[in-house]
Amino acid sequence: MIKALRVDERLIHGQIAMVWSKELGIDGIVVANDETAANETQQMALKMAVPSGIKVIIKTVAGAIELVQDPRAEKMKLLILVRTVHDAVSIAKSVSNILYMNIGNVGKAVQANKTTFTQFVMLTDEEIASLKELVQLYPETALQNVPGDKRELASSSLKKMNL
Amino acid sequence: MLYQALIVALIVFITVGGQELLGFTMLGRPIVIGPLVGLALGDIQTGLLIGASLETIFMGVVNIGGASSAEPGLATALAVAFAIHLHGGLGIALPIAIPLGIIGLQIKTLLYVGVVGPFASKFDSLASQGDQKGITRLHFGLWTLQWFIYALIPFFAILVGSSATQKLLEMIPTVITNGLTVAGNLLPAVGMAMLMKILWENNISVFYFLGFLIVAYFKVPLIAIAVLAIIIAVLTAQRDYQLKKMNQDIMQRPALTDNSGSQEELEEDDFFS
Repeated sequence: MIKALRVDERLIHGQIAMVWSKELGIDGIVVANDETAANETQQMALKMAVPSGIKVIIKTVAGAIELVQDPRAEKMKLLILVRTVHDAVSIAKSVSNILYMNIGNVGKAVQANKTTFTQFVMLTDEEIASLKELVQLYPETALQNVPGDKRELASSSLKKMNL
Repeated sequence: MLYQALIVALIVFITVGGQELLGFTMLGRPIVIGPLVGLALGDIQTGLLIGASLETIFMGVVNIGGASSAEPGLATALAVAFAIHLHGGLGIALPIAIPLGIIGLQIKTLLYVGVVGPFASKFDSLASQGDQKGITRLHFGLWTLQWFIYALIPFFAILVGSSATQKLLEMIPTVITNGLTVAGNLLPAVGMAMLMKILWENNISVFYFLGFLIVAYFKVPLIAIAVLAIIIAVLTAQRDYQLKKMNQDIMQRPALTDNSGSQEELEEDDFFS
């Protein structure tokens, strides 16, 4: 069961380890990121941030799609982490049973012309196009940083900003 | 007053700064700062009492990323200093500590953004030059600068603020200070609840209820319960360690030759197991 897919450019960090993992009651984290899957140093750093009692696996985006469709994945409560909205769309295209599509932290590390959605979400024009695509696939896609924050529907943010 | 201001500023610098210099040392917790400030100002008992009270209130405050709520170090240092200076107990410390904890966090965040932040690219360029010594120097330099500025707050707050604080506190009617003392006695429950929200696990909750049982029926003092908890923790840790060793022995015995899965499949099996 896939409890959530979160777009978070920092992938695993304190908020994921302490707050989201608890809130979602997950027992496994799937990191879906092509660069990280090829970089052992980054993998080591991410694995250090994983809370005890939670398993983690680092895959390419394509590898993660395959992994979560494995029948054994149905028995686990999973959180998928991606770095960009674009990657989220790639997964959403092939995986239809994600319970919560979450746009968390994205855009701070990107050097380009960006539109600010919230304090934690800044998207380039290409990412906005991806977000629209994502909303088509998952209408309930929401912007939310930590569980205590309000879930703001991505579709209404897009409408509000005339995008 | 200058001595008091200096010493409290120094304590804030060492403890709150030191908390983040050597890993997460917990030096900046109220239970450490309270007695220290008390010792420096000649009333270690008040320091310990207020430190312990504020610790129970701020116990659940662990600032993680965006989920930050307060910086209890500055709050405790000033609350203890004023409580000793004005000869008041928790009733005086509490109205000072709670807002200061929140203001302290805002200032701390501002210092991260304003003092440390601008140097992020400098670190990058030093790293690309391979200048290890430069990175070390910059790291500790920024640490010193950041916490020096932070320590200026308690310094000036005590130097110029103590008479103003006294007047302000005298204006509060006793009905309200009494109420605050009562609220202060209730607040530890909030601190514990915040901590529970992070730490609660159903399979270890039995220990939580064991604690209640021991207090309610056996009237055992807190220190004895703490020692009992240590014994349980050591026993559990030893058992876990032995289990882990046994597990490793079993895993190593069957040769991996017949199981000719690729590294990736092994990794996936491990993830799903």
